[in-house]
Amino acid sequence: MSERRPTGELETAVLEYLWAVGDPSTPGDVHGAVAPDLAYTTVMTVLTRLHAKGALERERRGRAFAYWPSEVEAKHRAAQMRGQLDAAGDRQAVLSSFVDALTSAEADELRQILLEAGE
Amino acid sequence: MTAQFVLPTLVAVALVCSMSLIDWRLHPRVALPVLSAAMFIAAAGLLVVLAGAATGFVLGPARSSSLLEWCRAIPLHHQVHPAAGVAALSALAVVGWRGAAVLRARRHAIGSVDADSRISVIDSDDPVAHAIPTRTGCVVVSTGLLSALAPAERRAVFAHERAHLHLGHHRYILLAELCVAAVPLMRPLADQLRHATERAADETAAAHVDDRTTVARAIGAVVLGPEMTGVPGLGGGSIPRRVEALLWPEREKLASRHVSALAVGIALTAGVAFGVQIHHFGELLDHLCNSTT
Repeated sequence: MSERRPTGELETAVLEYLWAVGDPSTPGDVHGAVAPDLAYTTVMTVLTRLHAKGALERERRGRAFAYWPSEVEAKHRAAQMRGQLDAAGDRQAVLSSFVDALTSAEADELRQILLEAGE
Repeated sequence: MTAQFVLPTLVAVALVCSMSLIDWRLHPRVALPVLSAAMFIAAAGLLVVLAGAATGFVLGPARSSSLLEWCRAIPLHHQVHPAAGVAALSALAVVGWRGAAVLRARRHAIGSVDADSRISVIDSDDPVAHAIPTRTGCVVVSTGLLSALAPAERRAVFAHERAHLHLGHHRYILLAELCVAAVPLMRPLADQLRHATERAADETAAAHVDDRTTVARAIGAVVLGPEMTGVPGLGGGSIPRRVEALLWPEREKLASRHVSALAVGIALTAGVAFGVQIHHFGELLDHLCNSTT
């Protein structure tokens, strides 16, 4: 039984998978990892569409293609975004980040914790 | 504007500010609604009193001029001393300024990505991972962050940021920041709220990648990288506690049911006090409506 997922969400899931994996992936890899509940052809269509949009690059692997993400914001745009996001007020004000900077005391505490965990 | 008249709001603000002194360690399920409600009550209460004082002060001279006939009908039971009136107007200006800065920051953040973009990878060595609350929600990461992580850890970061968007954390954070603009003493409560959202996103990410250790490692890899150590923390989201909770969930010292109930009780009491204050002003408004018909 396959669920209809909104297109945007599926495209996003595919893109995130490809960014996470790093190496070029075949439609089979992507299908199995991202949306095994959907049809293989659905995943292939998404990959083709993303490639047509310029978000992905691809190379031939035998009879299939292998895809990887290409869309990286241009450097000047990145700097602009960084400037906007990083102004201390901005980050504090409204954004959720994965992590914020920590004090050296917190860094030491964290190292202790990770040591104890054997990481 | 006697002290008695504004007493209910003073009680509400004092109660909520006293909450700031305690590290509640509430479960995110409790922290999000209770802390944001408490902050809203204190901020709204203060703004209502400031607005009332400012209005009373401004209307004072207007009543005696012939320009605003209808103002004469407002019975000002509570005279506003000029000093109080000026102080109220100044305070409102400051709060308005700080609140506008928060909204401006939000606008900049949202404007920094394409409206329909859901994921944006920027070419930068600095570790960046944010959830931008556009209409569709956009996760922004940097190539620098991705290169510091293994594939499974990257998936964890994406899942964490996506969780912030799905769970609507940006609304709580925006409300909290606006409230802190009005009552700066509540900053610790906003930090506790932020920590709760980070824990919730961590748990969602851990479930998504089916490995708590991966998320903990991802946090460590990003945070202990050369860019971030030793920089003063910006507050909110205690990182060591997050990693500990991921690695040893049984060790996490969350608020007991009784402590949670206490937090709810204080917030409710503040709410009642706020309600009483609104009632006072309601009476004023009632006079206003009746005298102008």
